[in-house]
Amino acid sequence: MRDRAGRHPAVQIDGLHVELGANSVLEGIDLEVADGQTLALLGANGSGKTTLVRAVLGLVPATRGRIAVYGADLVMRRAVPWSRLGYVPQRVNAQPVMSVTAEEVVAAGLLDHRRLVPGSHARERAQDALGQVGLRERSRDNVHLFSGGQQQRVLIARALIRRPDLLIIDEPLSGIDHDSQTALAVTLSDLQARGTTIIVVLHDPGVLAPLIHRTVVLDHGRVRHDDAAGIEGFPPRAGSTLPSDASDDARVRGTDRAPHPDHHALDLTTGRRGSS
Amino acid sequence: MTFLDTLLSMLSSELMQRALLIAGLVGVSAPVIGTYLVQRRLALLGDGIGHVALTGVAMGWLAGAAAGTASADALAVPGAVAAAIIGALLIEFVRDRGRTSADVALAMLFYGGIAGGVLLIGLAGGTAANLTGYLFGSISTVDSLDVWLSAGLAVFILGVGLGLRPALFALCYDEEFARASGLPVRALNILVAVTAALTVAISMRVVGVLLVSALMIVPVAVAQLIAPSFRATMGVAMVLGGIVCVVGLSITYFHALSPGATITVLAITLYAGVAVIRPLLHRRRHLRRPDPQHLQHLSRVGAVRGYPADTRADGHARVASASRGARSDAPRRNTSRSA
Ligand SMILES: Nc1ncnc2c1ncn2[C@@H]1O[C@H](COP(=O)(O)OP(=O)(O)OP(=O)(O)O)[C@@H](O)[C@H]1O
Ligand SMILES: [Mg+2]
Repeated sequence: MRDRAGRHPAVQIDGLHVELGANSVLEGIDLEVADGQTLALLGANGSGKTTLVRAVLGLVPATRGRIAVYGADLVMRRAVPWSRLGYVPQRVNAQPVMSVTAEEVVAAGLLDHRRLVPGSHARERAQDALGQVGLRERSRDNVHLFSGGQQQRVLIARALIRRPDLLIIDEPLSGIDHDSQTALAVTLSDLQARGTTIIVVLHDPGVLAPLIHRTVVLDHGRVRHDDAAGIEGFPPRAGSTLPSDASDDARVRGTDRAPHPDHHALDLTTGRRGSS
Repeated sequence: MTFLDTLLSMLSSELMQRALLIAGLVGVSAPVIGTYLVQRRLALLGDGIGHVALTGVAMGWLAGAAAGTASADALAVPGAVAAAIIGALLIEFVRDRGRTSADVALAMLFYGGIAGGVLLIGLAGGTAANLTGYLFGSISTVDSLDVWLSAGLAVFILGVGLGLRPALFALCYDEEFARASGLPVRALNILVAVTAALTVAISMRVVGVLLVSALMIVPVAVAQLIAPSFRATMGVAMVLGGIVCVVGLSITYFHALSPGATITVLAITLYAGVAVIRPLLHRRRHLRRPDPQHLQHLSRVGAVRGYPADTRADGHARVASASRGARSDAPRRNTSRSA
């Protein structure tokens, strides 16, 4: 359902059922994630959290039900605004076969259904994104020689480089050292302040707790708890970072990518804004 | 006759000029698609396609015999191209559907392709010599049409492999992420399969269907040992592929050896040589060097937000402190924007 301003929610899930093999993994999920909301998805191992976020990204097909992202039904792949979505998977999927630099992995995040080749400045943007996760110095190094936590941060950079409006992160805190968790919290808080919608799968909110507007708990493929109470009252974005009406409208029409007033990430390491 | 005389006579032979040109084209283009296949752990795909291509050659022969064309070879290459493409699409289809049975499907194609090819060539009245030519390569009969055909295929392979490298890299490195990015994964997969098939068809003449895959894979294996990135791996593999093909083919001018076998042995010798030398060249890296930027990042983090002290507070206090944090951050943001 659209809100009063006529905007589509970031994600709208109606009666979603997913079966994988013989398993019925998701059994009737209804969930609407408002634009700008930060939602934590919790639940025991095997409760279906990863499957749910994978379904939202079109990686597993819905057996029944419907998923729309910014009003676009996932069944119509070509109509989905892919460049607005960023995804950080739970695990590194890639096989360590040949040397691949962090920069090459992160630059792959610039591609979408219309862009098969990244534009100019791909390398600079990749380095900036790696800077956001504290790995700028390692951008020419082989990712397969990185530690598990460093690899996870490369995947986060690969999602950040898209400057997504909807960021989906699957268990970003597991296996990550305390300092990097804190750094991630700051990065996410910056994104949140810019109006980014965040869906984060967690076992323990930890350092991300202050950012969470809403918590949804899955249990055997169903929503067991949804403290949607926080939806109405969730803290408004800080005054100066709230998008102006004009650019907000442009953003809804999908015409805006660049002129968003707070589009450039504040790079805490330098105090400068990243180049676009 | 001195070595130089022989070399000159080789280079002045028109047949040899054409053969060397084709070998160079094949040597440079085969590793391009090979790099993607190695990254995807599909190194044996070329082999499967090669075996199927042999059946295509045989069908071309049968068709040629039926149509009464002058040379039995005339339809061999078109037959190989068609069979290779069908085989590649079949393998891709199986890979896309059931991952577990993919290697069994590949094995079926291997055996079916080679057995079918040998049977059909026999039926078409081919000799053992004809068969050996296709199995291990023979470019003693290349004409200028072959050169043009090879050049056209090479342009296609290089155009796809280099022009779409970012998308194909994304696909082969992490297919799931490519899908989640909205990339047209199925179309790209089909493109890779078809390009691999054309690579097999173009390489078949030089190294033969049994060793086609070696040309796609071994230069990449060598490059993998020394190149620091995906891009560099592909570049080094192209250069090495070109060199071993041209040198290997030249050797067969001096000694009556099978070109495919010569080129492959040369490439594998190169691999062994580089593998032995590499540890000597390998400079020590300082992997544990702390990242100064990251440290600076963290120190600011602590100063600006007061993390992680806030995180122990409960419920709304936490949310409030987060938004307060954002607010207190705001003036600084404004200054830096206007600056
Ligand atoms: N490809 C698959 N085929 C069959 N069943 C699957 C597949 N993937 C996941 N499942 C099943 O679906 C259920 C949910 O898995 P999922 O990965 O979504 O759980 P999760 O909540 O993310 O768990 P975790 O906390 O361990 O990450 C599990 O019971 C799992 O066995
Ligand atoms: Mg999971």
